[in-house]
Amino acid sequence: MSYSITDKCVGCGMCRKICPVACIDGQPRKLHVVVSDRCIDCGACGRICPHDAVLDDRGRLCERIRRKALNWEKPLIDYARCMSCAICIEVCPTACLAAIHTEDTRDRKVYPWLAHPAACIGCRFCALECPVDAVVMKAVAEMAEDEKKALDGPFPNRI
Amino acid sequence: MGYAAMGKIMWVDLGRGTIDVEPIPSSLYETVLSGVGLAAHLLYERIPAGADPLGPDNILGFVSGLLTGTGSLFTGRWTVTGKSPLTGGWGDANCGGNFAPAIKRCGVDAIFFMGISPKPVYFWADKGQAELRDATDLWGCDTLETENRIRQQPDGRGLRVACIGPAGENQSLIAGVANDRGRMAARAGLGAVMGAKRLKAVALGGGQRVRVHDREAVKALSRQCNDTVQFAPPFLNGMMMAYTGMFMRMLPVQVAFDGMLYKLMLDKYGTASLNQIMVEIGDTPIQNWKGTNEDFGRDRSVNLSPEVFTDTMVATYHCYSCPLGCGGLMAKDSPWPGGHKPEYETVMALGGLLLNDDAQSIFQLNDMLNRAGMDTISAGGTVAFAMECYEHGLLTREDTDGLELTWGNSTAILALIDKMIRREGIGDLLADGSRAAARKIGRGADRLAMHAGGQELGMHDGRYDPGFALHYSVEPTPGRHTIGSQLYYEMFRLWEKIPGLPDIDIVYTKGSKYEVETGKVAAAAACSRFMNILNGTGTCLFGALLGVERLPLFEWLNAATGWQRTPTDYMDIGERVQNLKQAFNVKHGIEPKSNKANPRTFGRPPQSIGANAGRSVAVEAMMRAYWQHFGWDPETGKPGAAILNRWGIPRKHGG
Repeated sequence: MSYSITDKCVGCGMCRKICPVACIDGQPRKLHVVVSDRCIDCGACGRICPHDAVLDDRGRLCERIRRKALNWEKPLIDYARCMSCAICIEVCPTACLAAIHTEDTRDRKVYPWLAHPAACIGCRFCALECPVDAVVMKAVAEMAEDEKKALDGPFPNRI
Repeated sequence: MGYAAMGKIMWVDLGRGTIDVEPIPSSLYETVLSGVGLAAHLLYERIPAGADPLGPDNILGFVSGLLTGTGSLFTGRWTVTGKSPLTGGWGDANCGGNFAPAIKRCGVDAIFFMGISPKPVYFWADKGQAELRDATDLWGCDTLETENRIRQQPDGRGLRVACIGPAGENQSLIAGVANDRGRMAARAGLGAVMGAKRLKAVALGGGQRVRVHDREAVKALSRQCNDTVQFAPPFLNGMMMAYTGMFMRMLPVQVAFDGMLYKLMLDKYGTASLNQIMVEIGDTPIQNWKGTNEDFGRDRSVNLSPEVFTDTMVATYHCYSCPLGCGGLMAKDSPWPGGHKPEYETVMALGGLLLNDDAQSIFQLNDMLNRAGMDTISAGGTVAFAMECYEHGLLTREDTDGLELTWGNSTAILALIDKMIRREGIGDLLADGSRAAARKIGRGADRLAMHAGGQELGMHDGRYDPGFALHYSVEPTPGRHTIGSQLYYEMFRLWEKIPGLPDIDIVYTKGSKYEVETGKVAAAAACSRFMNILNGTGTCLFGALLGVERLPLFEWLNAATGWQRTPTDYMDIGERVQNLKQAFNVKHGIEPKSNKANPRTFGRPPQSIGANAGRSVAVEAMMRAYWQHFGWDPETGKPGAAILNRWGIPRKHGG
């Protein structure tokens, strides 16, 4: 299945710009289309569309979510649960997660963290694929202060 | 469309510069899985008999595993395949790191390269686009530099890179393919094939996800597996393990080994945990296989103790989907910044095998070889051969460009390997491995080359574990230590899931290891079959050594694909793939008999002192029994028409 675009589209191009797999075609101010065999159902086009013109993989209208108001979800990682397997890093379609470790030999664990927060599109793939449920998605606007700090990774004071 | 597999492969014609996508029917995955099985099926059909491994007709494949990307654990290995220029037969090598999921993220299970490019290129695929890009500027760069430069381009952040270094470019027949900062798919010499095709690198990105039949079921199995892996009581140190090895050597009986113990060792030290224990026990070949543990006693092996290697690392290194993390990354301020800690095979191939206990030289050699993209096992084995030639006067100081190739001379080893990487002087003679060098030297030098079918043997001694001796000689990919052994069979515990396979007593006599009997042959054949499943699914051998109860491989397969197969059904797939690989070799004119390892490596003549004193393995009898077990001709090792027909494999050879 794949997302699709209805004739409400005005051709603003926001979906085309955010699509992580470049599967949306269209000229400015013309109707855009999703190349269905490349669509990965990440939902970014539906969240960003200002004109209610995107249907999800089951044909339901996608709700616009204000990105600038920090309403898009980002991954919070529970480092006590994390097994450092990098499944979240490798499934991310925008490569916004990366592995990190310190040069301090007392802690030799490697951790995933949101290295490129601006690239995160809130697709939840990392949370969906984590076998030990160590990734929880939460809108930044709804995060408590300590959770926002956790977005800076496991070593906020040492990097 | 099926589950777990992407259902498509990509064909890149380097001569014409074309890229095509071919759909693969789900029935094929049900017959051979993905990974090595898919490659063996396709390349058996499509590489013409007699093709020059370094010519345009050879096909080089980068293949991911069927379980990679499904949420299963220990399933992050990719395989590079093709006709091996080192052995002349079927070639595959696999590697962890982060490249396996990247293949699937491109939306395909495999990428195959045909032809020869007129100029150096690298293959780039991301966001549904794919193209060949100019690599003239990258030609000559080492593997870490190549990866960094590709990833530092404006569109390079998410790319995962497999590449060759100078060794592959120079078509050294012991060159491998590297990914993720110098992890190597090292064996079978496929780096030379990549170099001959002028393909510097394969850089992949994308966002395609793997469809999983029952993702929650896969994850539940993974959680269970992870609970086992995370169990780790604090204990053990390196010298303690040396004494454990000594004690095991002196015990009059053999105690069956449990994978959980090896897991604990890997957890603490990685494969370096084996450094001392295996020397003491008699499993590490010493001094080109003619020495013994007494030549490399604890006073020397302590210089290569596990701690020496773990103390220098700043972080554990995990391959994709691995909860264990047996690798190690070196400190930024070390002389080898960001590189990988040397593994056991590397340490011993460049250590005990050369009577070299200078750890600093081993760190340096490890870094040099990973950057050059050259196999550390074959490089060590070839240097060992050269040293013995030097000892016997078959190579003189004139031949070696003035290098004093005496045992343990670490300065000379460093200089020699540098020359091998550059193909300079004596290095040019040795850069294609010990068999090719012995042929050029002549005068009986071949008796000093410890290879099987052209490939140097792994650092596990068949005189200690006759299973290794058999697999080195009998496999379609000779000389490999990662397929089977009596020790692996003990740890796989396949009899818990597969009816009819012999189980292992907790305590047995050491002498019984050397008896040729049907149970042992059935166990060896089971290892071969099982390893084809592991390499078809992208599963790590170390994960499998936990045992099939703790690593739920068959259950993951059923949950991820939606098939309802029994473990025995999967073992049949493994047998089909074994037939394909053997048939590939026969098609390409390999006489299976000729893959028999150098007799010294299996105790002919037996050693008079040391851990393996008096031990000799009846390799020929075991090979005959193994072939017979698979229904192949017990004298020639060739599969006949009837047996190939049974597995649905067309016959491509006479005889």
